[in-house]
Amino acid sequence: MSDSREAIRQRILGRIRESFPAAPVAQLTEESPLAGSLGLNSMQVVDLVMHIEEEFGIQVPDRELEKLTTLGRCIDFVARETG
Amino acid sequence: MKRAHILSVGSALPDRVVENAAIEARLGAPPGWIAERTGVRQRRAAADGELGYQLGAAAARRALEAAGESAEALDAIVYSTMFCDYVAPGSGVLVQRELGCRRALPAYDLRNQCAGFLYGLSLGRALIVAGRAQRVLLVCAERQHENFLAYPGAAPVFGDAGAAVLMGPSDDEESGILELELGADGNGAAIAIAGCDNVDVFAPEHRLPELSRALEEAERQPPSGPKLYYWNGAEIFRAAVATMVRSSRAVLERIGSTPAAVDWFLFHQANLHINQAVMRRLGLAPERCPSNLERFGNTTSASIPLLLGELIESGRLRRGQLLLFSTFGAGYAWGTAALRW
Repeated sequence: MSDSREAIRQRILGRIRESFPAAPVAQLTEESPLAGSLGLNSMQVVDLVMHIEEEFGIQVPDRELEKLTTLGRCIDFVARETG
Repeated sequence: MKRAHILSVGSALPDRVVENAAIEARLGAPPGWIAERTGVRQRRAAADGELGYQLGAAAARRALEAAGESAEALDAIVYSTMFCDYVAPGSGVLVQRELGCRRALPAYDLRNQCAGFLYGLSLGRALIVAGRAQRVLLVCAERQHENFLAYPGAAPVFGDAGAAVLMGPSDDEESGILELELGADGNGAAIAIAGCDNVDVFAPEHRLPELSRALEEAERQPPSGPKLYYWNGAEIFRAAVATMVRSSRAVLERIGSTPAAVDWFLFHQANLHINQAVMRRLGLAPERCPSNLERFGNTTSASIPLLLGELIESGRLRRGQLLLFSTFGAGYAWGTAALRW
């Protein structure tokens, strides 16, 4: 795992902890579904994606929104958008 | 500088209470599903034969009584609703009629859905600041619960209510509406849509280009009520949160203030998660953000004046306090206002 990917991962996890303090972040793997693993409903997952947008200064197009269902996919997207 | 102000508030709620369990049973949803997704626990539903303008007129009477004013003192009526009772006449004239107002004043009808109160506030403010009116009655009345029952995405959320504010000039230079911002973006039109009876939104000649996916979904809907109801929750959530946060910061910046200086945030009551996301981003403590969503659901343009009325009735609102109203809704249409009480 590259440093930049690990840095992205830690920043995303930090945002999750800050925005959803009750979410069991320690159990989250890159493959586990965000909604099910963190106990978030569909709107809270959208909220999480918005936090990721704000954290990295990027925009997730509407058509990509529903694809960002796991931590791994979020990291991949951020890595692509931030070069 | 003369400012427009809110002089009094009145509200009217139907007696009938509809609990989540009744709707969850109808939808085949598990207990707790509605509250978890929306924050709504119950809503009011108008009785058979109880029309929206009657709720509005009842709220209007209470606002006038609270201010010790007569309907004959009015210079204009502004009426906001999502579902009008009649195509003709408009609803503002019906309130005029119900109040027994004999003055031939202008009666405006607004249809800005969840942004209706802020749009109405802007119109009332303009009339007052321009010297064209001393007393403007802004009525927000929604009779909508039954209309949405056929649509699983909407049935849990919407409730019926009437609320009215009497507007007039402020009596000093400190109080009143300090700043107000409205906005609209028609590119969001296809994100939340409900058709009228005389427009078949299924027909290719009436169809918004973005709606192909929505129409596939709508063909599974029963035919009663509006011909189509489509709601993209994810897109509405993003647009609502981003816009309400941006607009709130912009309005406060223009008056040289910050969220920390605001005493009360009265956000439109559409969904608990939208408001929590806005509150987190603005750094707001929940006790400064009153809510009635759990008791009344989404009452569209009536939600903010209902909150204001409850705040006044509870004795928590004091002269000199700073309030921020903010809303976002179908259209897209939005508005934010800062008001010194």
